[in-house]
Amino acid sequence: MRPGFRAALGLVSPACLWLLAFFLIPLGLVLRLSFFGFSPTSGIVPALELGNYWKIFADEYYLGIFVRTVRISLLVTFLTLALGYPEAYYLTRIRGRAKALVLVAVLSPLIVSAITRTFGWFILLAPNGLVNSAILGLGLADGPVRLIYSETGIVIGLTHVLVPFMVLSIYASLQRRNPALVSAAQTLGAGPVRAFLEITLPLSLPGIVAGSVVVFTLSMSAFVTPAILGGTRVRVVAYLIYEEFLLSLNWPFGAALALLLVLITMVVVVAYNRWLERGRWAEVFR
Amino acid sequence: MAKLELDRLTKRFDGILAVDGVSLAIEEGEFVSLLGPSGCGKSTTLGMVAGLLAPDAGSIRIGGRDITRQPGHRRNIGMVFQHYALFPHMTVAQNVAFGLRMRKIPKTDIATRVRRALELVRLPHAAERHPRQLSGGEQQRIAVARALVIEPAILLLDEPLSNLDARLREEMRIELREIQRRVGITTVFVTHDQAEALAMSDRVAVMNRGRIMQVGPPATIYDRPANEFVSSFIGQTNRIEGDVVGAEAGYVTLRVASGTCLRGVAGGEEPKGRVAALIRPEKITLAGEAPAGRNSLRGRVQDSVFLGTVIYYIVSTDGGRFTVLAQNTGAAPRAAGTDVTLSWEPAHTLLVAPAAME
Repeated sequence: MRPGFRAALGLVSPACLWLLAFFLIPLGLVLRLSFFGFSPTSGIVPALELGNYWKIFADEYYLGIFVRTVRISLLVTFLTLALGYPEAYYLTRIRGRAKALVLVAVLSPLIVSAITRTFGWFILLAPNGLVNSAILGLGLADGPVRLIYSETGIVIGLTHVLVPFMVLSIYASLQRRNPALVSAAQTLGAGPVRAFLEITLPLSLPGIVAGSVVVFTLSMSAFVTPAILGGTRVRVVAYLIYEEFLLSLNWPFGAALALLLVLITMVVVVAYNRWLERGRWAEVFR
Repeated sequence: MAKLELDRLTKRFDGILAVDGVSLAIEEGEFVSLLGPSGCGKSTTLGMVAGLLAPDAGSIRIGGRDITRQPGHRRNIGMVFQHYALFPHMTVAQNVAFGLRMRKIPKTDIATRVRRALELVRLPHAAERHPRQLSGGEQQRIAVARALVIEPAILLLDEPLSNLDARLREEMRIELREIQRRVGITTVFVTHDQAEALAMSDRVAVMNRGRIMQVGPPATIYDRPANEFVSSFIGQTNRIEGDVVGAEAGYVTLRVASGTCLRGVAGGEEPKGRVAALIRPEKITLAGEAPAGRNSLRGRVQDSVFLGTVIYYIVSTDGGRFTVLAQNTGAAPRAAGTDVTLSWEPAHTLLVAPAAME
């Protein structure tokens, strides 16, 4: 063993042990649990069968909730990107006190507790809330628009809380760029828009990828926001898992749902990464 | 290829003058260096020519056409940056093709011109590689190819050699100058390295505090510096202050503190009152007695450094400490403590107004 390797091992082993004890082993337990059976009278039945998974795939109700969760997460990822990129770009162009203020504003959704923030949205988006009053007042709709207990509400709430992750990771990648590159593009005949599209944007792709992965993953597993803004009427997978574990007490089925959620998230994230890292801008990621 | 004219170019940053009324005319095909310490305004001047910075006052003309208000991407100027600024996500060929693509040149022409540009910098085989796979010198050459392939009117070089190691720097100096001559392009070269400026330029413009102190061919800048700043910034110099007491036969006489009289020539304007005499170390000879007609000072060798082709002496005189550069003629170097007479030609004694000491 080379000394450098031993030092590296020493440095990562505490984190590895932590992961092993509190993540990998529990994950293994959940995996085992997902193959168990369940009977309403006698509870969990140790077994090794795929019944729980069949149940998900055979029932449109469950599949529909998975599709909805992915749809909401993709939409939230897209919206945080659209809102976050200009914000991150603006952050790189200001200094001093202005920058400090904007950073606080960016992080503000994370400073407020999830419950407070989400009930805040609940009040705003309610049928007689501020947003609907405005819509009605402006004559944009005949009756109140359904914002709470709808996917729209969940998307709004999640986008709000997840934008900071997108802004910060894009900001980090924009900060790292060499400003002379844009100057070089300019002297070579690229106007501001061309220089942005050809130089700044591709070079900030790693930040876009990192932000998208974080936002997508957090959206897929989000619980509090969809639970309050969607509730039992617009269920997402995380809420379904909660119901199975704590209301139906069907732990094996909840475990299968949880594992499938992790699997789908991983597949989407890996596919997304592959697609970008093998595409036209592969060199950006080296 | 065109003439470049800067007329009273001025730029302030937060109210502080970075470039203060710089006027300079650069002839077609000429290679001119802007030389000065950091913060002297040379890079700011270049930035304004490139269109990366907007001047607060003054104008820029290329080939007689005023381009002061033209945005940078319409100026047709090739620029090489200090850290090369190659696009890391593009191959070498894509980097070189960038400017052509922006100009909507047909694809087949782009391929030919990129190939020719890469041949010009002797890197035709690097086309499909990425910048990070190239050495510093290679990246430098690609940056030159990228700037030249668009056939710009002017080539701007912003300290392009300062990130290379010493040996490569000297090679690139020659190569860059050779390429410039072959293409025949009007070139402005910004550097803080006096050797680079002297070795490469047709003319050197020495800058300090946002102003041009002197413009001229390297030999003139070195031998006839217009003021103390130029003389101390370029090469080494000995300095002795005195009062003008008279003039005869084209020479001005001044008396220094010890009472000795020295004769010299005016560097800039007519010397009056208190002046500083500047003498280059290699113009001074050490002898037992001073030959007639030469300026002389008595001194004692303090230290000597043997450098092979030359010997470098530090001599204390009644006019202060002098450095003297003597050819290695084979004779034994003078030992420390030896009494000597320093002598030099009055023509090599440049009289300038003493610089305000900071």
